[in-house]
Amino acid sequence: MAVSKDLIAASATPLILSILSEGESYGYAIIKRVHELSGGQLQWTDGMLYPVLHRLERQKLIQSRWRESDIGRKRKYYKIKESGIKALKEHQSQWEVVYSTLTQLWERKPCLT
Amino acid sequence: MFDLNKQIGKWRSNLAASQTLEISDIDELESHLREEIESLKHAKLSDKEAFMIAAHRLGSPERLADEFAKIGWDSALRYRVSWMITGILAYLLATHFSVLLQKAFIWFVSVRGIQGYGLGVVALAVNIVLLGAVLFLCCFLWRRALRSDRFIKWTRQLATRRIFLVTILVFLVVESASQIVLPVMTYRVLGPAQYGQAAQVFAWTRLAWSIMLPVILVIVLIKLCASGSRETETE
Repeated sequence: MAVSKDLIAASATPLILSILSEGESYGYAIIKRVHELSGGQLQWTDGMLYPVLHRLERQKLIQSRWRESDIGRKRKYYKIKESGIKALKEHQSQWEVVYSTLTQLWERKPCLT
Repeated sequence: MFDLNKQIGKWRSNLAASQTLEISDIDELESHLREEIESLKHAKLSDKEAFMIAAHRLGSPERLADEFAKIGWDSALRYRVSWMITGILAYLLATHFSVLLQKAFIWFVSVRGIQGYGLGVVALAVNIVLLGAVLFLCCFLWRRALRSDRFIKWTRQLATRRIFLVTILVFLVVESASQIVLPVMTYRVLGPAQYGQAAQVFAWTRLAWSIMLPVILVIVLIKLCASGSRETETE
């Protein structure tokens, strides 16, 4: 089962912010992490991640810097900012509302009559 | 033999051609591409296979350019408008520079005894030769420089820096000064009758320009359309 495009687009921001809240990371690693966590069901076109990262940086939720990795490869690392953590909390509560609403509807309620 | 670095270079210039991506965006995407290639090669894929799969996963240049354009539309627009202004200024500069040289040439031949209509014809010839030279130079620069990363980087810096505004200002001052000084100088060198006859041929010069410019425009448009469709074919 592949998750729909709309849902992928909607979940990109909270996913990225959540992964970055675990610590500094770079594009390739973020995608690998999403892939691993979703068991490959969240299929991002790799290149689409970067515009989202850049938008978040413009909104001053995250910040970036070029750094050389231990194996000598130059990568652009992203780090979450204070305002990003706040925005993540906001996203979290919104998703929880959606999630709890849907679960209430989908739960098989015992029939009492 | 598949040359990985050469292919990556080609892939980069495809991305750069879209003009919505900054050089640092392309660097970042390349770093991703190389990482993906590396991991695919660990899975025993050849250079070629790894490159094709990694590039496919990253998305086509057109799609990437579209996505980047969505977030950076204002900078992309500013960049394009700067190019348009540059183009208009370059055109004005080229025509006025050719008129300047033309007038200098008139002065040069008039002191050697060629007068009136003869003078005008010489001026027309000079004008056409200059126009040809300017066009040749433009094509040459277009082919040589426009596809290189360094040139694109330089124009991006130019478009966002104050140098650009200062250049416009200096150009306007020089341009308006020459509009006043040149006719006065020419009039002083030539007699009124000669000036009038030469002016008639200058009018023909304007005609030559007004016929040639639309033709050039059409040629450029055809070329642009052709190169656009070629790029999508290779996709």
